[in-house]
Amino acid sequence: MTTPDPRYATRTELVNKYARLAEQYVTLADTLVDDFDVMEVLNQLVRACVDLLDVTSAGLLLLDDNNALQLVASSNEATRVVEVYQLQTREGPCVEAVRTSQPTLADDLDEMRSKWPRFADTAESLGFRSVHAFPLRLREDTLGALNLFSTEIPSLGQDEQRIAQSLADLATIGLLQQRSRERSSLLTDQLQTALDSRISIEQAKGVLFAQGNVDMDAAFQTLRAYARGNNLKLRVAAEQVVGRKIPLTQVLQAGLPRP
Amino acid sequence: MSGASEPSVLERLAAVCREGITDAKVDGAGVTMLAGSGTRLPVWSSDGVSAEVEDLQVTLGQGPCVDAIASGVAVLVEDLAGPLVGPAQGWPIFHDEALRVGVRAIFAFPLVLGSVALGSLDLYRRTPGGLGDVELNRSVSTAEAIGETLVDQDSVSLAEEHLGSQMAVHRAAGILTVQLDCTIDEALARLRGAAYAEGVTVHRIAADVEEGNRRFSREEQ
Repeated sequence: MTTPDPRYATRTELVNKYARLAEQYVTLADTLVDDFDVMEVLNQLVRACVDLLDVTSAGLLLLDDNNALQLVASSNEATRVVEVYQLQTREGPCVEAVRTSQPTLADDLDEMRSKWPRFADTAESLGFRSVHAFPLRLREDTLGALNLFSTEIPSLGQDEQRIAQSLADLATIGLLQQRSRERSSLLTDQLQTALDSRISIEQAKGVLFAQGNVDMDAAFQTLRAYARGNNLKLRVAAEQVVGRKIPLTQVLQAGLPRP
Repeated sequence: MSGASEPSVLERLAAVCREGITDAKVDGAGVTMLAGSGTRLPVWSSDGVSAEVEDLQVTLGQGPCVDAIASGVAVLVEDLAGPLVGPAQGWPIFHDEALRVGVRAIFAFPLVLGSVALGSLDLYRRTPGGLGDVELNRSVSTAEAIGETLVDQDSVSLAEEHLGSQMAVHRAAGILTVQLDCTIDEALARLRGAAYAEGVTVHRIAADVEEGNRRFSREEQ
């Protein structure tokens, strides 16, 4: 009869607790409406992995605009550790995880050496025996991967793998929401600016129509001619007219046919 | 390349709003957009009453959707009749005018994208009564859908093409700055004031000004 390892029993309880917590976080993340500091959150995330999952080191890599992986957050700032992450941008389980959108485990040093020699060398020299990469994915989008390094094998139990993927999912939702917010803000800005331009132009047309005693079409053409002649955006010219920043006679002259 | 059969931004907006009217069990809806400068531009309404509701708030500079945009939260008034209490205290003139045109209950939602207020949605009823939980949730969804519809690649064309009558008001204001030798804001205030005082729409006044049937002078009050 074996005595249950009290440390393990406690750890199982803890792991279960964290699994539930992580799953709650995923649900919460869905309701995030405020801007958040992306870098701060990702740094907290990799540190949480080291705390909760008993791994030695964690790093997060994201795809940039050119579809290349970049190291974005690392639980350990030591140069050599960072270096092994950097190598992960080109080869290794992280690249695999992003490519396949599936969790990828590398825990066989011989296999690692044959598949990814440079990466295996550096990882081994740091005492890492396994790397577990979890993709940051949501439906069709894969943004990068969360990499967990361990000096032990096996590195993560089933529950811990569940937590790690949950944390990766949490980061994905947050990142996608942030990108969506940024895109929305940009589009809204563009729309509201377009509306302002139109308003200014219509107001300026009225001004020139009344001052110059010309029809609306001629008023508009005059505004355009003045803008072109002074290398101004139409909106800027309109604002100058409406705000009387320049004498209207000067603007109206621009609309007159050349002698 | 969009084919002729692809609905325009305005058509999609109308579809979303009509569905929203059914979902919320109200009698009508109106949408007003906010330009970067804060200028309000009514962009769509389901009927004449809604159109008046939107125009009145622009003309008077007060109303539930003005407050909704300022506060970022919905303004819900179940019954405009009876003592002037609650949110309606912030817009006493609009309150009276709204009742006059047949509005009894009004629900205003800000259109917010990210953290930017893009405009507002007004829902009204001819009979008193509040929005139930289901109707309220659906209205919030409608507001979100409207925001997403407006912020679209084609939105610049919305600004360019579909705001005709609103733009006539701004042309008339430009004319008034010359007639009255005043600022554009004063000109807009004069136009709106005249519309309210005479019981006509600001569009009527603007059309008269542009057609040359009406001149404003400094003596006029």
